[in-house]
Amino acid sequence: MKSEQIRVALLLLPILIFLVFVSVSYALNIIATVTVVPKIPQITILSPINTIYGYSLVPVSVKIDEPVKILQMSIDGQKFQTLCTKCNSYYMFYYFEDGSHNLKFKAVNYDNNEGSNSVNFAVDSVKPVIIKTEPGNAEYVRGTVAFNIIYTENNLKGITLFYQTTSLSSYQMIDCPSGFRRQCSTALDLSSYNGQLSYYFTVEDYAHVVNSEVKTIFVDNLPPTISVLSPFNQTYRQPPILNFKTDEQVTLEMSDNGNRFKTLCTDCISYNKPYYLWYFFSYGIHNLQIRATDRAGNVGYSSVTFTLL
Amino acid sequence: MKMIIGLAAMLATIFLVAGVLAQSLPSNVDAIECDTDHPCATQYHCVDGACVLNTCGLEFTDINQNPITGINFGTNVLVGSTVNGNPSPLNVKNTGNSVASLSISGTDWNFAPTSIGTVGATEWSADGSTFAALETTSVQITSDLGSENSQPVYFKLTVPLGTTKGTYTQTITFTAGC
Repeated sequence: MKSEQIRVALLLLPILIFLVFVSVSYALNIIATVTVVPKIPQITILSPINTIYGYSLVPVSVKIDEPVKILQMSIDGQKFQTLCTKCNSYYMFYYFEDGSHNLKFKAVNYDNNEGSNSVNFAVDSVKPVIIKTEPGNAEYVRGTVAFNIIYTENNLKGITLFYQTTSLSSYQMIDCPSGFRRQCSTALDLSSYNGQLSYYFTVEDYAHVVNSEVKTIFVDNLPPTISVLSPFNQTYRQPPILNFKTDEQVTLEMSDNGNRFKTLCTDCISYNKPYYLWYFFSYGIHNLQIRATDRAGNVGYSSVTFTLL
Repeated sequence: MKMIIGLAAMLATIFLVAGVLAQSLPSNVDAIECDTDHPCATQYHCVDGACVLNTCGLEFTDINQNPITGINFGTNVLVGSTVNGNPSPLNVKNTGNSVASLSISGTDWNFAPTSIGTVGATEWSADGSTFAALETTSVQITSDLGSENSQPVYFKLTVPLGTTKGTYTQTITFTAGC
């Protein structure tokens, strides 16, 4: 039996030697390590964003970086409501009242880890209402001019006055209040300008911009000139004709010998009448003061003296 | 029966002698001499005209040739995220005296709650751009890693979704054939 074992060993020996020599190899291990922390669902709020919406129907849209068991939302601190289960995104329109709002989202993933995110935003669905602007269209003004606006806006952001003379300018009005039928004014010194001026206001809340109608006014800082065509500085045997001309539309008045001014005509550029129906020149010297007031309020004077025998 | 055994023993003896001669001696006539026309036998290589027995050896270093004992994928790795191994790359140096082939294999991670089939969570690359999932069976990285030369190997790991918090390990094996 022993001889058989020897023979078997002799049979296997070359095979072993062959294996040893042919399959020479060297193996070396290295240990890789990693420390894993819980995965918290990351909620990205696509909408709403932190802004003021000019409408009440606001899209609520979120996405999560992994499928979650449940996604919930709380509106303005109220109880959480389930938006979806076994989901990784959500989209729906919600109606929000005017005012500030807070949305809080929370999601629980399949490892029972909870992630959350929140957003603040506001809704202002009512546009500003412009009730009145001044000066009125085609109005004549001079000097320092008051620009006035009456409006209704509960969340006023700002009011800007735009006006165009030779170029377009703007003025940011300050301390304009919010509320119902509020008024805001500013004064512009236009004393060095003569000509047309177009203006309008913009009233902004945090979601809208409303423009007032464009109005054109006339800036006139020049007094009217009066030409006295009659009477002259001479002696008359009968009441002379009163003949005055001006260079623009005026209210023409006259004072005789320092008495109070009496209106000759309004919105006129001339006066040419022989006498008043209700006024009579007495005999003697008459010192006439003629006063012309234009539509902007500029006043021009002229005088003449004559004698009636 | 005895005849068969005897015949087998005789063949074994012949095979033994032939095998020993074939494997332990150069194939050229002068046994230990070699040149271009007279290569050495398998497991030998020619050095200065003499056949020298191949030796195998590997060593892990970083790019600065500092010895490395492990690959670290990080300590605050989120589930589902993919991270690179450190050092990057891992240099596998052939410390043997001959050209060697280099292969790689690995075990499953001991991830919880399940570790089954997680060997492929680790991916390796020889060039840092084309990655392949690690396998439990050996895959050749290169067939001709010269003596004292290094082969860079890049690793990245994607932690499987559902893995619970903890520290986990995997054994990666490099095998040099020479």
